[in-house]
Amino acid sequence: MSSSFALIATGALMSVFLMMRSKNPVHSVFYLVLLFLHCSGLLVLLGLEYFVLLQLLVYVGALAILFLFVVMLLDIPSTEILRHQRGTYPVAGVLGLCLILSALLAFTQPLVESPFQTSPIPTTSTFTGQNSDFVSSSRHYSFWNNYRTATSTVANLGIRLYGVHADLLIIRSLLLLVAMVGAVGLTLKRPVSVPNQDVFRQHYVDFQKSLVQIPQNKI
Amino acid sequence: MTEYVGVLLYIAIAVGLGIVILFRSYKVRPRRLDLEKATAYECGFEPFGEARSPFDIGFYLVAILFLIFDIEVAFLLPWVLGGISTGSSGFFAFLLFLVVLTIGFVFEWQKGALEWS
Repeated sequence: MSSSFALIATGALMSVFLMMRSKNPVHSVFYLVLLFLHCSGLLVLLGLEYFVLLQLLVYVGALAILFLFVVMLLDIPSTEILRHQRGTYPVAGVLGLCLILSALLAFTQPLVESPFQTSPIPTTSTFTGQNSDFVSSSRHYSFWNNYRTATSTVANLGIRLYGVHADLLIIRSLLLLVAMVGAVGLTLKRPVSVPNQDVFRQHYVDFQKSLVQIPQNKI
Repeated sequence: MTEYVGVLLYIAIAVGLGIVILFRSYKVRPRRLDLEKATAYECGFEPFGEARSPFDIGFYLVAILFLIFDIEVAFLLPWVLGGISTGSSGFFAFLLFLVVLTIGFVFEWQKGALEWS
């Protein structure tokens, strides 16, 4: 566990470093995608499958494209971006110092009862403490063992989301609706009144009727 | 954690294949670089301007609308994996979720956000 964590965390740090150092902003976006992939690997190690999926679907799939579009929308030459990047080193230095200090503090004062250190498999110590005679008899233990079913966190989330907290789902859909209306209202250009090509009308022209023979006396 | 060994294997094979292809093409190809080949070439002229040109904002609108429907799909996945067991009430919540988003879809269609003129 810890070796894979070290591998993925090192990869994430390296991709962050490359993202900061790369001269081309488009390359920076690609290194950002690499960073998102490493973050999803860290989430796999934590056992949060749904967040892995969200990370891959939303961040890698859609937000990276948005970042790329932002880079391409802004008409800034690469040399100008480089010139602006030079001023960020003091800020990055202060943030890095904070990171190193917090890491050192975490190493020197390890919290045993940290809320973040939860084991993915629930321990049975809480059950054995209350009714120990129930568990100690092997017959009952095997009885409960038959009913043990393993459900993934995504399946549990589905039951919670659609069974218990369905109202939150509806509120979320309204939020997405507001986002959609806002995006359309902010970025939609007014349709100009020029004769546009209507593809459907062009395809459904009846060829037999489109050519009309004009009588001779009309010419 | 052992159920992700297949994914790890897949990633390892993909990365290894990529490394092999890049490395072999780097080693096998002839390298005869001369001064004329290394110059920037644009129809026989020196390059006129930046290769990067600003996009139309319509691309951004399409990307944002895609992002919203992407999040919608991400919320539909827990229903497939576990929400089916919630029965008809869960199904109607699912349908209501889809109906509200379909209203938004119809709105943007009628506003012409999906048109490209």
